[in-house]
Amino acid sequence: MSQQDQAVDIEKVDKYTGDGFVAPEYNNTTVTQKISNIVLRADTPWGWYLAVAVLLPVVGMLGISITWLVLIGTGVWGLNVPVGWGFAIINFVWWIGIGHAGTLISAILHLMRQDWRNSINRFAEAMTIFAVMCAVMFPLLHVGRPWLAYWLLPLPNTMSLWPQWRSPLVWDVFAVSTYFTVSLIFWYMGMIPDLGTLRDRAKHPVVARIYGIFAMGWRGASSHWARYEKAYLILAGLSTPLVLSVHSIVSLDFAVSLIPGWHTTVFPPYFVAGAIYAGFAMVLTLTIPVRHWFGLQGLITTRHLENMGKVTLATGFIVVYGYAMEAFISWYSASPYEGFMMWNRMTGQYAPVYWALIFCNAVSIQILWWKRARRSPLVLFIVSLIVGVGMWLERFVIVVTSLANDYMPSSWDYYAGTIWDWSLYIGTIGFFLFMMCLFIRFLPMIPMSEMKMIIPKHRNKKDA
Amino acid sequence: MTAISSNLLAQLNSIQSRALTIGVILVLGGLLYAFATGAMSGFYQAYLVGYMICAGIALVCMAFTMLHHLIGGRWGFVIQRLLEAGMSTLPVLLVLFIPIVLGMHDLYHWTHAEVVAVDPILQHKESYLNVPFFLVRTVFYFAIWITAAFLLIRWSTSQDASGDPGLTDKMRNICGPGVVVFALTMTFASFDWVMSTDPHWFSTLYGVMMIVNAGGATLSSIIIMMTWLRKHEPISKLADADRFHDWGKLLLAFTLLWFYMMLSQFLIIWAANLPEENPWYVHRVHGGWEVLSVVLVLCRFVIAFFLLLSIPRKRDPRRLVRVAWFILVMHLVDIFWHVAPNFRLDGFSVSVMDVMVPVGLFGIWFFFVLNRLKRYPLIPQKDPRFEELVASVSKAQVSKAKA
Repeated sequence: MSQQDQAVDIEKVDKYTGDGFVAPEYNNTTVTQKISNIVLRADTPWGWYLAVAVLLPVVGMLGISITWLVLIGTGVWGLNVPVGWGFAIINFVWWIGIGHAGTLISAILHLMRQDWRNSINRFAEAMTIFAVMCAVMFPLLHVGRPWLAYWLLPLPNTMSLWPQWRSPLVWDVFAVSTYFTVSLIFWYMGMIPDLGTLRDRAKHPVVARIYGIFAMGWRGASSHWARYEKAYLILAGLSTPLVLSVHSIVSLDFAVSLIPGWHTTVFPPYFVAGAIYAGFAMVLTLTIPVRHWFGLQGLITTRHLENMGKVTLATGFIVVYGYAMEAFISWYSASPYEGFMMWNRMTGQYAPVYWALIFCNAVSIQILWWKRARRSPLVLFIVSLIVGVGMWLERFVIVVTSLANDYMPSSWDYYAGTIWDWSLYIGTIGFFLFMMCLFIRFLPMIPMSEMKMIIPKHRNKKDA
Repeated sequence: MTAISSNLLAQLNSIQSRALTIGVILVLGGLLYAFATGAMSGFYQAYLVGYMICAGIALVCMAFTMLHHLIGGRWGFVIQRLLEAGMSTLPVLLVLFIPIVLGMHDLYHWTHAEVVAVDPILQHKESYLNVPFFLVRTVFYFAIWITAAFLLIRWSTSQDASGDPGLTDKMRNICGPGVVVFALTMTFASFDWVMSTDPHWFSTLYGVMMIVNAGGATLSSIIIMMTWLRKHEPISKLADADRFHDWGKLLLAFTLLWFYMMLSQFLIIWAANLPEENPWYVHRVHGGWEVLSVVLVLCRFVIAFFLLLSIPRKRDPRRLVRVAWFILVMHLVDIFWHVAPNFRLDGFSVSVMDVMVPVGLFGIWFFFVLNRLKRYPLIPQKDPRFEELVASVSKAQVSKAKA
C-alpha cells in the first residue's frame, strides 16, 4: 500500500490537547514555500552565521588534533596499560548510538505507519550520516596508522594478511560500512523529489543546475512516484535489521571478551536501546533550537516533541532495565570478579561517574512522566542534554572501570583523558554540528513531499 | 442481553467443554503414567513446561493490552477482548502453580539442604534461592499481575455499559508504569521458575528472552483465535486482510527477535567459554540434544521466517493460521528445550508425559480463557478511540468499493 493511499482525509487532531501534526496554516502550497525558502532565500537568520563562525574553529581544532595524533602517535592520548581503550572507543560507541534514532525514525516508524515522523525523518537521517562519520574516525585513528586501515578489509595481498574473522572489530567494519551505505542511500533517495522541487523553484540558473543534477531528472511523473515508493519501502525494510545489528555488533566488541562488566549476555539489546535513547535525545537537542530559529513550530509541533519525549522515556527505561540486570546478576552469579566489578563501579575510584550516569539516565528522565514536561521545549531540551551526557558517561563507566580494575590488582591504574583526547572529542562534536548547519542551509531539512502526504486534503481543496 | 450471538455461544461452549475434558484426561493420564513408572520428576518437568507456556501467554496478553492502551493503533482493538480473556486467567494460574510447589524438590536443586551445605555457590545465593522467599516472590508477582489485570478488565467492561471516556485515561495512566513493572516481574519470575532449575547458571538476557518467546506464542494464539472468530459478527467486519497482515508482521518481528535473543546469548557465552556459563550450552549440544537444538532453530526461525516473509500468506488467514500453529508447536519444543536438558544430563530423552501434560494443561487453561471470552462482547463497545476506528474502517471500505 503506498503512502499516498493512506493520506488522511480527516484532520488528525489529538483529542486531549487539540493539536495536530501539521499546524492549520499549512497546505501543499505553504509547506513548499516555507521549507524551500529556508534553502533558496538569502535571509538566513543571523544565528546560523553565528553558529558557523563558532563551529569553524572547532572543526579546525579537530584537524589539529588529528594532525598531532598522526605525527606523534596514540601516546598523546591518556591510554595506559590496563586501560588500552579509552576515549576512542567511548566516543565511537557514543556517536554510532546517536545515529540510530535516524534509522529508527526513518525505517521502523515508516514501516509501522507512524506518519507523524514525516517532519523529522530527514533531519534525523542527516544526523545519522554525520554521526557515523564522526564515529568511524575514532577506530580508524586508534589503529595508529590510519593510512593502513584498508588492511581491515579482506583484500587479497602479497603478505597473506587476512582479518581475524572471530574478532568483532572485523564485524564492526562490515556492520558500520553497511550501515553508512544504506543510510546514505536512504537519505539521498528520500530527498530526490524535494531536490526536484528546489530545482524548479531556484531563481539562479547555477543553483537550479546543481539541484537539477542531484534531482536526477525527477519529474514527479506517476511512474517516478511508483518506483520511488517501492524503493523507499525496500530500503526501509533493509534498514530495519540494521537498527538492531549495528549496535549489537558494537556491543559484542565488549561482550565476547572475558572482562567482568563487558561479558554479559544482555549487552546486545541493551546497547541497541541505549543507542536509540541517545539518538532521540540528540534529535531533541537539535530540533528544539532549529524549530525555534527557523520558525518551524507549525511543522515540528509540540505533539512531535511530546512523542519524542515518550520514546525517550520508554527507551530510557530499557536502559535502566539493563543496569538492573547487570547489578542483580553480578551478585547472583556468585562470581567474585563480577561482584567486585559492580561494587567497584559503585564505590571505587570512578564512583562519582557511575552515580552521575545513574542520575542522568535513570533519574532525570522521570520528569517526562508529566505531560507538561513533555510539552515544554525547555524541559525537553535540558533533559535531552542531560541524557546525551549520561550516555557518554555510561560508555565511560563500561570501558574504563572494567579495564582500570581488572583481574590482577597489581596492574590496576587510573585513567583520564588528556587535552588531546578532549580536543579530538569536542572537535568531532564541532564537525557534527557544522555539517548539520550546512545541511540545514543547503538541503530541505523537512521533506516537503512527505509532509504533503499528511496534510489533510480539505486544506488543499480550499485553494482550488 | 446476551453479549454474543447464541450460535457462537454454542460453539464456544462445545470447544470449552472439549478443551477441559481432553485437558484433564491428558494431565491425569500423565500423572498416572508418572505414578506407574515412578517418574514423578519427569511429570513435574513436563508440568513446568506447560505452565510456562500458559503463564507466558497470559502475561504477554497483559503486556500487549498495556501497550495497546498506550500506543493505540488498529492492530489492538479487535483483539483487545481476547487479550483480556487471556490475562483474566492469572488467578487460575496462581492455583495451577500449586503442583510446582509440590514438585519443588524435584525441580529445584537448590531446595536440597544437603546439596547447599557442600556448594559454596549455592550458599552465596541462599539468601535469594530459598523456599520461603521463592514462595513470597511468586505470591508477590501474582498479587501485582492479578491487580493490574483486574483493573484493566473492570474498567474496559464497565466502559461497555457507561461509555465514560475517562476510563480510557484511567487505563492509560496505569499502563505506563504497568509495562515497567511487568517487564521486571516477568524477568524475575523467569529467573525463579526456569533459570533456577540450573541454579549455578546465569544470564542477564534470560528475562528478555522468555518475554520474547512468550510474545511469539501469544501472537500465534491470537492469529489462531481470530481466524476462527472472524466468521462471526462483529469480528468479521473488523478483522480483514489488513489486520491479519499487521499481526503477521508482528509475528515476523517476534520470530526475528527470537533468533536475535538466541544468537546473542549463545554467541557471547560460546566466545568467552567460561566454565561458569558454558555448561548450560554443553548440555544442549551433547548427548542428542544438539539435534533438538538444530531442529528448533531451523523450525522456529529459518522456516518460520521464510514462511512469514510472503505478503499474500500474511494477508490470508487460512494460510497464516498454519504458520501460527507451527510456531505454537515450536514454542512447546522451545520451552521443553529450556527446561528438560537441565535435568536429563545423560542425553536426549523424551516421554509421552512431555507432550501429554503441557498439551493437557494448555487445554485446561484454555477452558478458562473461553470462559471469560464468552461473557462479554467480543469488541469493546464504547471506547471513544474505537468508535473513530470503526468509522475510518467503514469509510475505507466504502472508498475501496468505489474504486
